[in-house]
Amino acid sequence: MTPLYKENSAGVYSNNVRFQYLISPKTDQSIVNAILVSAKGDDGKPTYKELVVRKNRTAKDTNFWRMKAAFNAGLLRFTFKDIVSVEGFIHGGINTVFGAYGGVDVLGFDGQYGGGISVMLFNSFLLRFGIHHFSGHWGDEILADFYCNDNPSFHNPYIKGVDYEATTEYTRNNSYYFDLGYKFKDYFTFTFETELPQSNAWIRPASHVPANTTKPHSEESPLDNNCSAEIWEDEGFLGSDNSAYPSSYRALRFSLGLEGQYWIKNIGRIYAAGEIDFHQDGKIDPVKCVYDKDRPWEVEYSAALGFAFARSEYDTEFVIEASYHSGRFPLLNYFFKKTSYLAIGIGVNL
Amino acid sequence: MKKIFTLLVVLLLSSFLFASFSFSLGPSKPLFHNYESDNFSPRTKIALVYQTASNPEGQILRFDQYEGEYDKDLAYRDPNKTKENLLIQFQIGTAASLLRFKWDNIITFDAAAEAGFNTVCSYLNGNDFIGWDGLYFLGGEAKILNSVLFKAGFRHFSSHIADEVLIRTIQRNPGTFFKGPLEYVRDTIEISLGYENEKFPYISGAGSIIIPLTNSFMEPFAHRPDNIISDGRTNAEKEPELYAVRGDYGSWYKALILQGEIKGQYSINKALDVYMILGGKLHQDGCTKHTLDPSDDDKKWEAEFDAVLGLALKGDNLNVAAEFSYHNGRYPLLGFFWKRSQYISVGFRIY
Repeated sequence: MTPLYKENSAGVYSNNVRFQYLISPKTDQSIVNAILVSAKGDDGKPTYKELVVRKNRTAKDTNFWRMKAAFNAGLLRFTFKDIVSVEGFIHGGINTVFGAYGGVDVLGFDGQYGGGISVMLFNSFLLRFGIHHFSGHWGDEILADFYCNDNPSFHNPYIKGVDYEATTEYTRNNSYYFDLGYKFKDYFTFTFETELPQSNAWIRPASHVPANTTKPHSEESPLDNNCSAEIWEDEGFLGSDNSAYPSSYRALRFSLGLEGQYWIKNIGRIYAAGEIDFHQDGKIDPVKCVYDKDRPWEVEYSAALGFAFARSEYDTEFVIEASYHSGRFPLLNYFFKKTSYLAIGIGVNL
Repeated sequence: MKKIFTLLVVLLLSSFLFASFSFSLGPSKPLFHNYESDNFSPRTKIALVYQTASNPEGQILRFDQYEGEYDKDLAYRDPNKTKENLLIQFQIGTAASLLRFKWDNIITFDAAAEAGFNTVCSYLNGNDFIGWDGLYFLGGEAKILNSVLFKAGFRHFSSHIADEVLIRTIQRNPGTFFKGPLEYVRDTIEISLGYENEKFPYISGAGSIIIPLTNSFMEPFAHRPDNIISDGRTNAEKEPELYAVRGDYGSWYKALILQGEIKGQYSINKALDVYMILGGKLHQDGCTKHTLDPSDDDKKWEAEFDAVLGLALKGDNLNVAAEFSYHNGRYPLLGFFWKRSQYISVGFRIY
């Protein structure tokens, strides 16, 4: 069950169990209090807007509870001496964040799952291939705030067709994985991961869809139409598409990871990990909703320091961890929200 | 914190002073296994569900009150469509012992934690999620003479309706602003007693009583006992409009849950186990019929029944099982507690 390819402990979406308290700087920038919607710009063209859901949030309301429950498991493994091991793996889980203030409202839920094949060569070189699904969901309580209008602490009611056309979401259904790793004994693991959305896939929001992506057919929508046209229609802009995007834009994600660890016999391991994530969708201008060749890829930085109680690498690990993240807020639908936080918490690595 | 630290030091020293005592930090499989047949016990499972019966039928949300009406149902999809009989249940959860104190084979104490999510989405309809449930437990467990199990602690249940359902409800009911649909929230104390013996692994079982805390946030309003203090206020103070319709239930009603499960297991060989689990629950809140109308209340608790047949492939630290299940009880999402559901499912569970 212990997988050949272990994901980086610092990765925000690594498949493990974490219960964390997030502490962000006490600034207005750290307040998470808006839903991203599509709307008509001044020129009538699509734009994205952040609509605030409550008037009374302040810079004191910038701590959060995060709960992520996910597993990463090898199912079947074939090993030939110390030369090669081949394994079928599955992983997946749910991630959620609550405000550590007010009524501890849930801000959103993320679902992710994946599966494929991992290979280890000479107990050092790692390869992983597979598919990965990412799906962001708004929390019911923040949606209730968004739609409600009978509480003076909320915004005035937003009117569909005037203030917004549709709420947006973040979806990658599904992407290919191509991952490489190198494990130096029991001390260090270096990883380079690539995630490429399939050319026939559901991708949201509309502005992130590569030009030639087609949508999967379904019972309700049987034709494999252009995906961007379909999602733009969902976001209230019938007739829009991303055909002007260059073919080099594929909504790619890359990540570089390094994790070091030191085992203390029969007690566990101390570890330190770092990860840098690169998002090609950072090249999409969120105001004009178009590809901008001059915008850089968006970059995120994450680091973790922890102790994992376990008697061997095959045990379930109980983890005490401190981590730091600078980048997107750790819920998929809040990709538009840049933040940083220090997290302390406990966890389990299955 | 100081008291906890002192206790840890005392436990550690006592394990040195008395050879028969041992103390360990870190993960162990919990002494008291989660209920394996229960939808709302943290577990890791994916299953395809075929709902054979549902009452009420239709793809609807229920509201405490909506535009002046009580117990109002609104459709989030065409209510005549029955396609939602095919569902995917996706659950992710874990349970771990965090501290263990053992005195020979006489008694073992654990500090234990469980946490998980339970979700259901449509198999069709674009795989729209219907809801998310959050679950956790913190408490202590004991095993006496390697056979008798005891568990007590704090257990939390919290329902969340999925965004796709809420947005569709708004779209189908334009011009009306959103009022929160019924939720199911419980902060409870659980006390459990069980039996499991590794030398006789063929039969195990447990029973529990789950008691809502008097000072806690509890939903829906129709389920709240008279003695609940929510946000520091009584029912009459907290929800005067709803309370005026519902009134008091009487001191006999505490919104208790009784739960039990029995498991029969046989090892085919070192790699394979086959097992059968029978589980059930009795909900005192069923006496309310989930409505504010006092005229339909009675003292009949609502019952749920589960049966599971499984074949497990044993791994080094976890097992994978293929399971066939039957359920007759509440819909497999906390927020749809008002919907009775009968279904069969096939899926995989990791435990």
